[in-house]
Amino acid sequence: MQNIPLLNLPGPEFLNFFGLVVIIVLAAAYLCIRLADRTDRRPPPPVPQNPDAMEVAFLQGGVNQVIRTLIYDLAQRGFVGLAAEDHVVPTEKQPQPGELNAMETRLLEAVQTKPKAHKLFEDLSLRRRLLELLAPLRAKLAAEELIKPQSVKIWRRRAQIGGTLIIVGLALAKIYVEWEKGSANVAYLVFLAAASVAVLFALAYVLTRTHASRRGHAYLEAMRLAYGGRLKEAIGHIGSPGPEARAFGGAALFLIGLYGFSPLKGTTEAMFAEAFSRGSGSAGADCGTSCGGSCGDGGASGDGD
Amino acid sequence: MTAIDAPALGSGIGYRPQFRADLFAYRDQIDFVEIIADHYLDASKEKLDELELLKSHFPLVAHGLDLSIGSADGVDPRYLDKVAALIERIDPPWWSEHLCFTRAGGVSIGHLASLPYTQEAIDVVARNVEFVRRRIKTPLILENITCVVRIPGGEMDEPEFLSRTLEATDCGWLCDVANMHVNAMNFGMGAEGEFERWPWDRLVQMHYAGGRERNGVLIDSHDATTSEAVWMLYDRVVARAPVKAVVLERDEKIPPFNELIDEVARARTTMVENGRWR
Repeated sequence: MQNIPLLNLPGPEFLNFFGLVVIIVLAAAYLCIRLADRTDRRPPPPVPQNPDAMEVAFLQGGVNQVIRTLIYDLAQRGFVGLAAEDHVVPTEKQPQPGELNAMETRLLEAVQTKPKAHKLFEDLSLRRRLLELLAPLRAKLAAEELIKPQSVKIWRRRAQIGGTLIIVGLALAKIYVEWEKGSANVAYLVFLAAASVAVLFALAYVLTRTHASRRGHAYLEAMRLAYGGRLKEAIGHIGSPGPEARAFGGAALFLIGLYGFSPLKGTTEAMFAEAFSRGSGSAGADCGTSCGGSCGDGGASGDGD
Repeated sequence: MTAIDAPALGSGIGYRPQFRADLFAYRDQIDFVEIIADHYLDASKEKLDELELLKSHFPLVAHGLDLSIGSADGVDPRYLDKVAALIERIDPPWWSEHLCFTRAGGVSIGHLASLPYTQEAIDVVARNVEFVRRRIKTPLILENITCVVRIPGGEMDEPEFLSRTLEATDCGWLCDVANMHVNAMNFGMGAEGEFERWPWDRLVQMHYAGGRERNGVLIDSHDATTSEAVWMLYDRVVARAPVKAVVLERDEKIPPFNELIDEVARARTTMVENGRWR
C-alpha cells in the first residue's frame, strides 16, 4: 500500500484529493438516486375534479398527513378537540352507526386515551391499521407511478453503502500508510471522513424523504396551482357563523391534506398548527414540495415505499 | 365553404384567473377554454405554469387584444414575435384578434377603436394580416367590435365592411353576437334587417356576453348575464351558420361559477340542436 503514490501524498495534498473523491461520491449518489425515479417521463395525470382528501394527504405526507387530515376532519365534525398541552381529546359527541369510516373510527379509538398530538404519530398500532386501510389507495397511487418506486430505495442503499465504503476505505488506507510511517496526525482526516459519510446519508435522506415520486410531485403541484385559490377562500370562512364555519369540510378537506395545518396560523384554528407543529416538528406538508412526506414521513419512505 | 379546416371545439369559456379552481372542478362541463393572449406575453413563471396547466386539461384558443391589425403604420413586430411564441407554445387550431386599431402613430390608445368603413382601411388590414401570416401560420380569425363612434367618411356599413375585409384577408370570423346587438341597438338599426348581409360563410367562432345600459347606450361590459335579446341572436346565428366554437365572456361581477356553467350549457344546447356539436 506504501507503493501507491496517491496514499503517499503529503497531508494537505491528500486532503484535497480526498475532498475531490468525496464530491464525486456525492455527485454519483445524487445521480443514482435521482435517476432511479424516472416517473416524470410521463406527464402527471389530470387534476381530479373532486380531489380525495385521503389520497392527497397520503401522497403529500404519508400516514402522518393522513392522521392530521383525519384529526382535523373529526374536530370539524365535533368528535374530537384539542386540549391544553397539545392533548387530543374525544368530545361527548358519539358517532351514529355508519357515520364514520374505518379510518376515522380507528383514529377516534386512538384519541380515547387523550394522547398528545405527537403520540398519535408514534402509535405503531394505529399506523399499522391505517396503512392496512390505505393499502388499496397506495396500490392505486403506485400503479399511477405517483409514489416513489422501489428502485429509489434500492439505489439509496447502494449509494449509501458504496459511498461509505469508498470514503471510509480511502481514509483508512491513508491512516494505515501514515501509521506505518509512524505519523499519527490523522485526526482531521478522521473528522473529514465522518463528516463526509454524514453528508452522504443526509443527501440520501433528503432525496428520498418525500412520499411522492417526481410524477407525484408534479401532480401535487398541478393540484396546488389549480385549487390554490380555494385555500384563501376557505381560510376566510374560518370562524364565520353557520355551516361555512367548517371551512375545510367536505370537498375542501383535501386542502388540509395538500397544505397541512400551516395555513391555519393566524386564524382561530391556529391551535392545530401549533399542537401538531410541536408534536411532529412540522406543521405538516405546508412547505410545498420541499418537505412533503418528511413532515412526519409516517411511512412515506419507511412503511410506504 | 368552410372558413377554417379545424375541428369543432364546442362550448367554452373565456379564462379568468378568478375562477380557476371552479374551472377545474367543473371541467367536464367546459369543452374548451379561450385565453387572453396578452396575459401570457412577457409572462411570469407562475403564469406560464398556469398556461401549461390549462393546456394539459383543455383544448385552448388564444384571443389577442393589442395586435392593432387596423393600424396604418403596421403591426408592431416585437409584439407579433411574442404572440407568435405563445401560439407556438399552445398550438391552437386558430387564434383571434379584433378588427380594430389600438395603436396609432406609435402611441397605444388603450382601447379597441373602430376602423373607418373604407376600402383604404380594408387594404391596411389586408396588408397587416399578410405580415402577420408570414410570422404565424396558425389561422387568424377576426372579431367584430362594438363601435362607440362611427368614423365619418365611411363608404359602407359594418356588414359590408366586415365581409369585404374577411374576403380580402381570407380570414375567418369571430362573431361577437353581443357586439352585434350593441351596435344594432346603439345605432338604431335592427340586426333583423341586416342579418343575411353578414359573412356567415366565414364564421368560425362566436362570443356572447352580458352588458349593461348607461345613459341610454348599451355597453359590452361583460359584467352581466347574457340578455335574452343576445340569446335570441345567438340562437339564430348558430342555426344559420356552421360555427365551430362558442365562448362565454365574463370579466367583472363574476357570479357563482354554476351560473356561468348554466350559460355555457345553454349555448351548447343550441349547438347540439343544430348539429354543430356532438
